[in-house]
Amino acid sequence: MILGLDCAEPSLVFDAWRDELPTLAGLMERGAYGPLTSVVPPITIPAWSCMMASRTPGDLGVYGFRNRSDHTYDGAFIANGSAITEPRLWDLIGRAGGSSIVLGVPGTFPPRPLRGVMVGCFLTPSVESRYTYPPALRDEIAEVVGTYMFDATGFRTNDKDDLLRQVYEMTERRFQLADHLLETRPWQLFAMVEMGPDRMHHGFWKFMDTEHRSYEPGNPYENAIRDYYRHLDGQIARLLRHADSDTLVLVVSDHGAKRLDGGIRVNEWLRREGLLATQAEPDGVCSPRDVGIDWSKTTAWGEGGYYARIFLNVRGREPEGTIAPEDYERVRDDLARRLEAIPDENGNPLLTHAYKPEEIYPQVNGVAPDLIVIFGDLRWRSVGTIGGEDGVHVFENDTGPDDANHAQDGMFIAAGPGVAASGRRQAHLLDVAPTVLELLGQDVPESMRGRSLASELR
Amino acid sequence: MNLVVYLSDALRTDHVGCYGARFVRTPTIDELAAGGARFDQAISTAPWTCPSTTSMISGLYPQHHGHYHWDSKVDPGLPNLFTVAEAAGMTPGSFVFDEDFLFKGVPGANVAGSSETLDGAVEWLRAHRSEPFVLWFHSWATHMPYDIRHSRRKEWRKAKADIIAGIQSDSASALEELKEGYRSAVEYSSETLLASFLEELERLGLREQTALAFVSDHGESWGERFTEKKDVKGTYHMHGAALNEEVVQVPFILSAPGRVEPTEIFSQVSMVDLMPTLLDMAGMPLDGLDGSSLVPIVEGTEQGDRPAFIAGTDGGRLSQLALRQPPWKLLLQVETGEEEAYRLDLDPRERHSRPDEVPAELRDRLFAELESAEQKELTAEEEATVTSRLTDLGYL
Repeated sequence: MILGLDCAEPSLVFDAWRDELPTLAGLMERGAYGPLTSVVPPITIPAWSCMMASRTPGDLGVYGFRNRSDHTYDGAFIANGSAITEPRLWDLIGRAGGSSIVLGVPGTFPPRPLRGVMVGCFLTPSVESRYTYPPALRDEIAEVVGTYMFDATGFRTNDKDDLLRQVYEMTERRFQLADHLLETRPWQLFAMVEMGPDRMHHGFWKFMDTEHRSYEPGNPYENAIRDYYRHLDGQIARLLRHADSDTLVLVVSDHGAKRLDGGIRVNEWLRREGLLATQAEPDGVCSPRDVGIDWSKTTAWGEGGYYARIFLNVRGREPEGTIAPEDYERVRDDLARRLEAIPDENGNPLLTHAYKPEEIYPQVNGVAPDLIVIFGDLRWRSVGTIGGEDGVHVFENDTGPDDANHAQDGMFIAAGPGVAASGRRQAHLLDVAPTVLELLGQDVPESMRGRSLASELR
Repeated sequence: MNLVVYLSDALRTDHVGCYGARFVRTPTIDELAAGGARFDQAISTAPWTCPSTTSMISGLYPQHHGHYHWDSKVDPGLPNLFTVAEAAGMTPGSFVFDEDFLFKGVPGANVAGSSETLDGAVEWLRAHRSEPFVLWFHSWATHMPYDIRHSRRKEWRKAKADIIAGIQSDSASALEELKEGYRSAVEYSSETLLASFLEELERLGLREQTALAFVSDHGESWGERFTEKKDVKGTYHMHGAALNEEVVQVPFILSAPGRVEPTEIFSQVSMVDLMPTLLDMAGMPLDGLDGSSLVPIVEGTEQGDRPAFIAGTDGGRLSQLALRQPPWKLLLQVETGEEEAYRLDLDPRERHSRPDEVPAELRDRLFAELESAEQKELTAEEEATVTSRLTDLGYL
């Protein structure tokens, strides 16, 4: 039984609120727990698919939500389930004759046929979409929970009460459905992911974290995240009724959460460095594409999001490439150094990492970014806009919630047969699938990048 | 080389002499088989005419051509037997049971008349004898009500209703009467229609330059699988609703004197292979289709069973998908995900479903095939919804 909590933060569960989360604390006492180091980038897409397949983003050819489909300037796709071609846990368990219940695991819309049932993830457009396998399950869901919710919406508004209401409703319906499926379907593997923690962190972190720039003492949402975790703990207890003494229970997250200090406007920075040219001066804050990029004078461009993907404009590779192929490595090294040297707004150094994909992935499939940049040890995010009054640094909430960013380490708790009460330890997200397979007595495919922790957990 | 497809609709293999029929005499078909390649295990791609024939002319499975119903939209740009042959200078023509259905709107099919009698086809052959041609003759003589004279529509409809009433009555004599009608129709089809057709080819001196495929589009059943015979409500329940052996096994004989040596082929093939096989024989090898030429199997350079997918349709939608890979046949209900699996060697009548014993590769292949049938592209609206949600969340 894999209970995925998107973005659940280990320090909150293991330390700050352990006493308030009796269900999770009980599992921790019975088993093993600790930080679960995520992949780079530590982000929902592709991290959950990496966990379920024990393959790196490079293997999957998925480097984030939006990926380049080719070396043109416009070829892009949102990496939904169709992009994931590697077998995931339920495929492997199905091949060995077992049935699975897969509920909301990111990377499962559109759903694929499997032995068992699958309910599409948060990238499902709406309940009108074909979001289940088998298709008839969709009607059953409507009968059991009413309108199933894939995600909460409205993050740009400041109606926090509405956001809270949505997250609770979404969570309750998902757990109600989980309960129903566990009751009515056979399963060797139950895998679900609740998006609520991630949405709560992005929407409410600043109300809780005394070190956040926007923290206000005594605000009404000070305990919103804690209360939600307590609610989740109760929901998890409800599902654990279906876990007998023979069931291995894993509570996992794809990454953690931490305070967000601000954003680096990566394209604005490139423009100021003379590396990105536009057709016209931006009239206010906009995307470089809104005013048109002058590709013939552009060396590099970037994408926003919680981390930056930097693409170089290489002659013979991009349609209007400017970097000679023989200069590629030199330009890339130079750019990486300069990106890593971007200071905070007061000129203090940030702990920024600019990774080359081939250095962090054993295999690089698809069209990878030339650099993957994590600003300020994930305390800073990447913003794709240019123009306007702001400089390179931004602190405003105009491009999405800016309360929290992802932390590199997620969490895991393992309890059940084969897991001794052994306290805190470290694990890697890629180790989850091989560990599960070994504990189920199945072969671990050699292509898996992680290793089984079964012998260490005993 | 000319190409001819002579199709006898709804012809069960167990009613053809060379396939082992004991109470039906089909010496003409048997003789054709004795002089050519007889495929012992040919599997239709669907249990009824519309999706099955579209597979036979396009080399694509129903799950890829999408012709699930006569009203379904099919991409007119799909290459088919007629358009490919025509582009190579062959004259296409076809004779069908009803011009409002078969090949309606199919580019290149060039429907030239009815197959109710041989007259039109004979005339057509005489007119085109001196040019390379591709001819499709789709005989309905063996389709229920097992009486070819369907121009008298009212009587013909009544005859159909009588067949259904006979099955519903669950009386041995009624059933025997309608089966006798079927046996007579098969004999008539073989000994009068096919025999005359072949004689005409011979007389025109075309036999040696013609590759002829004698085929059917599906088999037939008479309520055997129904506990309540009242539930047999129409033709759909005789061939169309189920994918059992009696409706998906079809006769398939490939005859090309001087080109195809007499042989019996026991490997499984799919009727999706028909179009690339015929075109290959006429010097137009094709690839990139679901089907591929059977010439290597006929010539003995390829051994083993080819996988065969079978699509069930209901109301213009894909409702079932099966993979027949001897000794297994695995069937999936598309909406509910329910599985049935049969060991055809141990359980040829498909009585005991054993889905838990199916080799995993088979299920993987069937799942992959089902996935390939479904439209995966998001609509513009869906795409916009997802993009705006992700933008709000700060991910894009």
